Amino acid sequence: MNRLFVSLTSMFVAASILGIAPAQAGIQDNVADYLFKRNAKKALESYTDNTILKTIDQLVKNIRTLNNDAKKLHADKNEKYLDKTIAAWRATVASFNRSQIFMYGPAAQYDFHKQLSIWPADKILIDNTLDKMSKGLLQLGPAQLRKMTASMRGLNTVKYLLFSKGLKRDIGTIKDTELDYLVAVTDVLQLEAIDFEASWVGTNNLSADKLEIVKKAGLKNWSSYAKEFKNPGEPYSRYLSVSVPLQELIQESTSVIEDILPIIEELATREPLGKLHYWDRIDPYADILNGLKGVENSYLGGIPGSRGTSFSDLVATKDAVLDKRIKIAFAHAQKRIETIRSLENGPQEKRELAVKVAVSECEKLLSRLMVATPLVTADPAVEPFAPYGSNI
Amino acid sequence: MKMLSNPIKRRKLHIALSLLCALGTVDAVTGGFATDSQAHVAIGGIPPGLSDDYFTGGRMGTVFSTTSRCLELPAPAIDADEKLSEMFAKGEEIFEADFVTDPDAPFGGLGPVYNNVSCRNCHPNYGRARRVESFKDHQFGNGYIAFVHTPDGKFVDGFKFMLQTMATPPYLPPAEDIEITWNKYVDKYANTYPDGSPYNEGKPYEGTLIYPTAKLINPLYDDMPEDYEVSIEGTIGIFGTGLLDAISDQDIIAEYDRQQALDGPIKGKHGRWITEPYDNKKHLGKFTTHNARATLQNGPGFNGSYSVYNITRTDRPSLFASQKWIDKQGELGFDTAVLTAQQPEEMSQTELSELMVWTRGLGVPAARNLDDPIVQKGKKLFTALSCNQCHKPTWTTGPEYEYIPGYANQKIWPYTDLLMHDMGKMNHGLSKIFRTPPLWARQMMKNAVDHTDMWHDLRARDFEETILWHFGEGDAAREAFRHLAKKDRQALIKFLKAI
Repeated sequence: MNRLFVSLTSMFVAASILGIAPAQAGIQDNVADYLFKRNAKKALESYTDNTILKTIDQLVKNIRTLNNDAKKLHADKNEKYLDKTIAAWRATVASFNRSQIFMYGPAAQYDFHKQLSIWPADKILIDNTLDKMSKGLLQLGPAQLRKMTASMRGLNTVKYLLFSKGLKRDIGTIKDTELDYLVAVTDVLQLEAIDFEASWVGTNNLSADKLEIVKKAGLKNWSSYAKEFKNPGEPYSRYLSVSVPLQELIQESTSVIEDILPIIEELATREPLGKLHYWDRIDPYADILNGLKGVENSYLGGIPGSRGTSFSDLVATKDAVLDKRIKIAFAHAQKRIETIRSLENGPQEKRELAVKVAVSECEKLLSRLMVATPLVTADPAVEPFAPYGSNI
Repeated sequence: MKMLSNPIKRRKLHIALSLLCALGTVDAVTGGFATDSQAHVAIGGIPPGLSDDYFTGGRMGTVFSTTSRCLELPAPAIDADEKLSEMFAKGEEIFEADFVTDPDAPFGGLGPVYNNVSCRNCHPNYGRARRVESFKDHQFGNGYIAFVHTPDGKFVDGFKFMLQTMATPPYLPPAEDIEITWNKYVDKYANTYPDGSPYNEGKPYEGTLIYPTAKLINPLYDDMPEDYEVSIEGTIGIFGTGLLDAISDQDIIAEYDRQQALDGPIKGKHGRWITEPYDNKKHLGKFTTHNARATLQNGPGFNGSYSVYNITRTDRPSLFASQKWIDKQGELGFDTAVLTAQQPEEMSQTELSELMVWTRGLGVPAARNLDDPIVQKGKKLFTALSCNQCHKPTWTTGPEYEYIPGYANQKIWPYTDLLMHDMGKMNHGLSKIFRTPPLWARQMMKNAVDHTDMWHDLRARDFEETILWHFGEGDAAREAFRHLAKKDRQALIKFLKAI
């Protein structure tokens, strides 16, 4: 071998080590980045279509059922329709609680969470309005109620009209004016829920019957927030890169868990049924579980039966063990809440212990989600720093 | 004030990447990575290599987020302090609350006369108010404050400085509502630029400018002065307010002196010196649209949490109502004894302190895209057109700020001189003298609040219109903007969107 050959061979080997091999690694990185970003976009699409839009659809359906049942109760005041109205209210509250994981975007900008379920209801103002109605001084319709203070309507006002001290009201004590009020509240709720749906799907994409309702009410014409959310980086989207809507998703999920923690803590000292103040929850266990279900639906990319590529999948590509631990934490947290419910009439010490365990499980879930977050949202493939300039 | 866990409140977790930057933490919790995440660049909340001007609120007051929650995140100075973080979260709960009349309910004590039920209604999603067609109908996002005054700017007897349009039964408010009318305005150039293109070219409202006028609906009093007027002003965002509070009065006076020495029309006026009750010292007025308040400890949030709702407390034990209004309730046959009596404590001093930590502690979203060549060009034009004479880009906060120690000695980029300027008769409302508003994070209103409404009464629908409403001391800058080439106008606006 001459020296030139040796030199060329050495140079080739050196180039292979120093240049080509890294270049190959670079290509692999590029492919991995491409695939991760593509999956992240799929996860956003699945989350939007299968979690947000399907949950809103369910919320609107439940509110429309509530509205119909309230009207039946109004037309024929009897126990059966009261029970149906209460059942519809419970279903609506459940879907509202599952929707809390996407109370950013349009909900935060236009306070849909308050339009639907402002808390607490203003008992004094409601009673005063009922008094005026019973004296014939006021005929309350939905248009008028919608202009009044928001704490005089929403799901907590429906609760105030249907329950007394945490228990279903005696049908005989419900006045006609209260049923007039109930119908007006549920009419407004229907309008607000459809408006909320329109904010995500776009007014022009509403079904014909819903479109007629919003046009009749003269509501704002919405473009589709879902389109912006699913298409980060497009000129029409406020989301400049895939990372930003993913941050939004996880920020809200962790926020919901944080909000749930003090509600669980309250279960340790909760007043027994029949001693509730009107602002208290009728079924705090269901409220907590539905909140957690909402977070789980967000993480798993859809409501049960309609799940696609998910945030969970993205976490799994980075750390499959962590993803499994998060899923386990979801299951454990929900089981622990059921344990407290099973101790509703059990010994106080056991109940307090169960509350501590449930809080601990939720904190574990929270911490695992927080650990998983940067693995996904800070991955360069999803361009976490795009809003600050392409040169960075 | 009774507080329970609100089922719809949001305790914002600062998930923005800054909290999640430690790979070491991930490793410790999960037992190591299964895949190749370590191959990527180090995770960090703050993009590497940013210049100072990205840190609009300084290193301790800037947050890096562009989500719809970007205006509600605690500043790093809050995150760094466990006690302040706790107080911030509790204070936020008050901001988010909806006050009710029932004194025994959570957030009870609303009324008997008031103008809104929640801070958030006037500061939608923590941002500035949204332009509305109707004052009361859509309470969410309508942040207008209405003033009933005489042409010389004095409040009409019977009205407090903020018009109250709601009252707890049986009482009646000073007025039922106000009617807002949006009027078209055509300037002496027929709303066109010297290059012949119309204002707002290509937008649905091409060639138009609009401004509001307002009048009372069913005022309670029958002796209203014939020449009374109603003016409206919109709220601004709350973020960064604590940083402005941390600027020293001496520095503001120095800026005032600088402007007085300038040739030309720009001669800012400083707020009056106000002796604050909490320390019996004089402080310079620098808060509110007309610099009517000197410090946050006696400023908009501190007072608004009392005056907007009539939520009384030990330092504000009387009702926020005029004597004439109370007398009128008596004339109408209502019990006034309860109105004149000492009021119960409906918000504790602890709660007030928490609310103030929150008010001061909201971080300012970082600037974006400052290295973009068009943004750089816009930045040069901002100076060339003398916009920077009133919209002073930077300040350094004072050496101490007792409420949030981390806010001391921060170089911040609010783009305001904290002085007031004559903006011409076309802007005359309660006055035609307005404080230069901060420009930081204006574009983030689109993300957080879904609007780009600006100006003292929200007449400007976007940045272009905002510049076109500069009259008075701002007239020269307006004219200079009008004479720019179209691409230069766009560059200036792109810069404004970036900061």
